[in-house]
Amino acid sequence: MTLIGALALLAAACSSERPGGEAAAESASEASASEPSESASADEASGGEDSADDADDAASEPEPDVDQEEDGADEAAADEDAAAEPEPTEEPTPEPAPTEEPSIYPITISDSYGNEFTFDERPRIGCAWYGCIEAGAELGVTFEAAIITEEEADSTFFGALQPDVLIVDFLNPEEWAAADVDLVVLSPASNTPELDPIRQVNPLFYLHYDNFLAPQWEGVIGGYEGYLENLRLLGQLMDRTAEAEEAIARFDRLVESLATYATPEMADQTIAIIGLLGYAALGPGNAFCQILNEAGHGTCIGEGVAQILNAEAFLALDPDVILDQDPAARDGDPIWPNLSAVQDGTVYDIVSNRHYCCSTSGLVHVTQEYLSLRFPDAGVEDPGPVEDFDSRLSPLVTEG
Amino acid sequence: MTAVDEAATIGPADGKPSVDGSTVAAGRATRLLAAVGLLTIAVAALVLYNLTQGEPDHSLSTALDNLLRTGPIAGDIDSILIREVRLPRVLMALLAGSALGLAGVLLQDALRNPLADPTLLGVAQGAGFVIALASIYPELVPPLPTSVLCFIGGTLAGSVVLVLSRRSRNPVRVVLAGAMVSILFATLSSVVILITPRTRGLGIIEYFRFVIGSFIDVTWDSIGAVLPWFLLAVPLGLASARIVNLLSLGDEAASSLGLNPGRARIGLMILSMALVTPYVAQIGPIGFVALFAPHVSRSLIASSDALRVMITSAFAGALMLLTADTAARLLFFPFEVPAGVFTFLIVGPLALVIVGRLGRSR
Repeated sequence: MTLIGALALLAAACSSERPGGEAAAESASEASASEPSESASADEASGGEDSADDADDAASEPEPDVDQEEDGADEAAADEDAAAEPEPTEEPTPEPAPTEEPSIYPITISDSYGNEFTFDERPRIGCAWYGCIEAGAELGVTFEAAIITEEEADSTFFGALQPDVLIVDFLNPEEWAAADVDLVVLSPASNTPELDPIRQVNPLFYLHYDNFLAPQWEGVIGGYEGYLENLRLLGQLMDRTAEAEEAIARFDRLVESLATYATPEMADQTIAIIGLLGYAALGPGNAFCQILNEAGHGTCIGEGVAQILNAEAFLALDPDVILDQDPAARDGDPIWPNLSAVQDGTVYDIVSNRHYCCSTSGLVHVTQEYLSLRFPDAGVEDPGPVEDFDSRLSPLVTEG
Repeated sequence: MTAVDEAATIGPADGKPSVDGSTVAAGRATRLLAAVGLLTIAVAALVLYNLTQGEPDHSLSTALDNLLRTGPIAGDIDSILIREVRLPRVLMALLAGSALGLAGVLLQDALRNPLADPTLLGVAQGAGFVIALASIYPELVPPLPTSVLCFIGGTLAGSVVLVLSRRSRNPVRVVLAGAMVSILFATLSSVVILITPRTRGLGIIEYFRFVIGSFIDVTWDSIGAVLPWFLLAVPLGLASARIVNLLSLGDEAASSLGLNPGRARIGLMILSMALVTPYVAQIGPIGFVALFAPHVSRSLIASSDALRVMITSAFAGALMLLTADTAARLLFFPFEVPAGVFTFLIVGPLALVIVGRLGRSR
């Protein structure tokens, strides 16, 4: 990643990331993230040997057995602490009735870094990353704990898929212990020493890196493919494999729906998605740019996930299509009227900001808005406010 | 020879200097003219380079032609690029750089501390904190122009420094208080960011625009916003040279010459805030320039007379900032790196080298 890309990504990430410990941990993680954590490596080594014992133990123990040999003592202590702590005041939302299908447990799952975890029953999961929260919401499941704030939970970030969970301070191991979860699921960027206190309390399970193409972390899948893989992983973790496949199918249908609107000449067009820092534009590594390109709607300008451009550079790149999230910023801009897209009438003022950062499932919203603007006669309705938008019900993803 | 003595040998009201004094004064005046001339040539060359380089490049004659002609430019890409995109950035770099260079002299001489600069005294952090609030929680701040908000924030931080150090005549204590206030306001800004939910994410983007420090959004409107401050504060700064010279003698000597050091120091700090904070609103808190431009200036002219140092420092600051912005705009074209990065990476080390070399030769 170039310096510029890193700077732009920092700005973009901070626009929507929870700007607390997670953001700090993620920003600090690039140097160390390629190395799996020590405890996770130990888990991997011991996972196979103990699985039979784990299954026996699980028959008598009510808690799911997360195979964490090295951390066993700590975990036991943590369990005792958790038992001594008062129960969380907020009860998790009851899960839907179990399906009639046979249980998938015991199951061994590898996280994005290849660390293996064996579960004998559905673990109680704490979500320490938006990518986990939104994928869970897409599966229709509720986690036992998450790091979102109440305002975020009731915000444009999750739209109609609002989670109702116990809120935990990301870097506070005591709160994680009190949350009484078996596993903390988080971003691959959070594989840092800062998380060691949390690691002492709970095993950490790293997802793939959705939305943006991943940095060079071995084994970690980036972009929207990472999001789809996260759906699969969470589906396995939470015994919602069927729902995960449905969510993946919905996402595939989104790209297919988008492709039906493409014309041959659109494939060669350049697209600028702007709205941050003047002419700073998302690059081809952004998930929305990925699906636009895959569906034959053109290629986002620049390189990487995002870049800071000045007016002169933007004029030199002169994109064919512009999606502008901040049209007011163009008032009085001397460059603006001279852009080809402005002269050709291919500038679309989009409201949705769900493609910028931190919502891959939310791409349904921006895609529907994009189509309603670019193809006004095609009958695609404006998705309306994202607060009221349920991506699972969009005509772009529903069958037929 | 003190700065006042030195000024007296060349000042307009300096009576009859001795022959030796005249010789020294003439030598210093020559050195001043040479330094200013050199800096002027360098700035002019860099201005022309800036106006002609980009995408596309332009010839010098095209650039000059566009600069000199008047009238509408709609649809004329060359004119738009030169007059509407590049020229405002160049002017902002010149205005901000010279103001920062001047403010650095005021602060360093007034506080008698060579490390004093707006960043160390919390002025930039105070302005940045107000910007953070205004960007993310606009309902919490009065609806005032950004430059005014920055001035209020910078003055607030500076006032806290003055209050903390009011009973001490020790300039070091002022700088220590400034460091504390800098940390305080930087921390407050971080807290604002940390408690900001995702739902206000775009406000954070606005804040980062100011934290990173960049000329990317500079327009003629930006120039219009800072020009009144420049026209007001720069002459006042230059006019305060005699006060600065008196303060450089020490508080007791200054008092014996009829100056109230405390009040003078407060006045100079407020003046330096008026010089610095309007630019924080437009391009962010650019570091290093206010700190090193005065040192480069003193090294070039081998003088501590405030007026001379101010003039040279203003040119040096303009050259430093223009260099940083040139690199920011062109080095990785079409991508832009914030100019603040280059003031640290390029201007800072260069200034250190220059100061170190000339310091050894003294």
